[in-house]
Amino acid sequence: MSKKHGLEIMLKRLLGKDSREERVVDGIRNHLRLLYDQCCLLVKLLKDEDVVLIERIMDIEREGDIIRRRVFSELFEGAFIPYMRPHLYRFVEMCDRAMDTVEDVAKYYELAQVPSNLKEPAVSIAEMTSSMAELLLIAYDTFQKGKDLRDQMLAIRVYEKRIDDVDHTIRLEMKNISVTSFWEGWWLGELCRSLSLVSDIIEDAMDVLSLIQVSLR
Amino acid sequence: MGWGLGANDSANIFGTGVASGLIRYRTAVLVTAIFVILGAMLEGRKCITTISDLTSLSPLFSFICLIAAALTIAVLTFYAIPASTSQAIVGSLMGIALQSGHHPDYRLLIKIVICWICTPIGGIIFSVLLFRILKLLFLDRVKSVTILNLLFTFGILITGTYGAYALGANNVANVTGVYVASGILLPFHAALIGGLSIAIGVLTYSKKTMMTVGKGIVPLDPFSAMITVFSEALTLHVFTQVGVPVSSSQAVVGAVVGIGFARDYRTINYRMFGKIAIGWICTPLAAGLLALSLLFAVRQLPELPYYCFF
Repeated sequence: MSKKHGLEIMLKRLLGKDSREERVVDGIRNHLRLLYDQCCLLVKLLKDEDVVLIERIMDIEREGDIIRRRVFSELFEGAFIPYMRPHLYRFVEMCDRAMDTVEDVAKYYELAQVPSNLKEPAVSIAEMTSSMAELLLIAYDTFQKGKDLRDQMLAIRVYEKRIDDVDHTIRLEMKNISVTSFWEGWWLGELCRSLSLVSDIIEDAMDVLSLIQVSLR
Repeated sequence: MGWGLGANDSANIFGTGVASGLIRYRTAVLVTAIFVILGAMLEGRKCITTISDLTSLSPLFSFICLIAAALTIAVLTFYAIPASTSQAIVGSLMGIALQSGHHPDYRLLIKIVICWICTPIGGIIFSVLLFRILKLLFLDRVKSVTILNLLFTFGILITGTYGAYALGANNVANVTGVYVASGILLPFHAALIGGLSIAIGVLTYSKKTMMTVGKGIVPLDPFSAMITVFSEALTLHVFTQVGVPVSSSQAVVGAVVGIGFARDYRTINYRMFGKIAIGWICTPLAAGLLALSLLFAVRQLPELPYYCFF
């Protein structure tokens, strides 16, 4: 066992297993896991057109809200030094916003008909977003271990750039789509907008996480 | 004097901790008060002896000294010139000594002035060393954010406690040293009364200054805040062993500069050093002149007994 590891174990015993800080850390991890699950379900929804999954996506969003409230409550009651609390609070809020946006995509999918020529790029965006959510979860575990986040950050940025390119393609395609009413066009536009927004939020959350790490060193 | 010192200087110890919400105000003032008294009782005599050996005074002169020093601090603070209680006391003592015909100990005076100059330098050196050593020992070895959080919490409490002790040990001489010089008090009683008066100042009137100092200076991260207080405490404690009361504010300024230097030397603000140098000259000069003026004014009063003037 290395000296570094021994020092951490000794300090962890002092801290106690079930401290507020540990509950916050576990809460955030569970929250990120739910985000990843939600993104995977979104991919299935767009690929298989299984509308039953919409309800499941909304349930996961509600579970995420419960975890978010628990984490905020622990932070408010004194978990972590005040210097760190606003940064952690902001990170959790961004992840929650990502989950809300995935739920919006699912709701708009229920309302709008995705044309066949947009299905493939939409699925592509959803798959890349799901990979980004997985990377964010891995980055959080890496952050907990105090290791470098550069690899995950770079990968997320690459995915985000690719999503932007595909999103641009979708917008060009949308010019040629005919709609029967204003609302049909509106819902379709909102679905595409929300679909690309999730990746933006995940990228911003990654930036916040790396800032937290830098501020502690 | 002690009350003012406690109300102002306690902000250097727990100011950032209280202002950032890391430690409760009530806990901070209680810890500061207890350890200030402890520091004054255990090691306050070292600096009290220096002040009392500087020159001999009558009881009236010692009272005039303190009034002059307190007024000087108040006026210079009003004009935002950094003023040190130690420098004001020594300045007023010198003013009285020269006028009363009691020759001061010039060798001791030179020693005191050298220590004043070395105070911010000591703050810089200690903070650079502590920053590098503690970063290597803890910050680079502990990776878990929860463990870091625990270290910061206890670190700020422990360094604050040491800071309070060092403040009491070093600065109690500014409060009651002149009364030992005039023979009114014995060093033990001077340390006790001085420590208690500083503690009362901390307990009753330090909140506003703590919040102002804590939020007003450049917001430091928890590790840098810890190093700043630790360096300040170490600087004061070292000069306590030398036997010279020095400025805790200038030690803090040096410590903050040292942090900046440890991270990136380009962040040093040289203008601030200029301000401190002005304080070195203005404070003892102003206190000395004020003490002379008060002495002159008192001598015009016809009714006082003759022994008050010796």
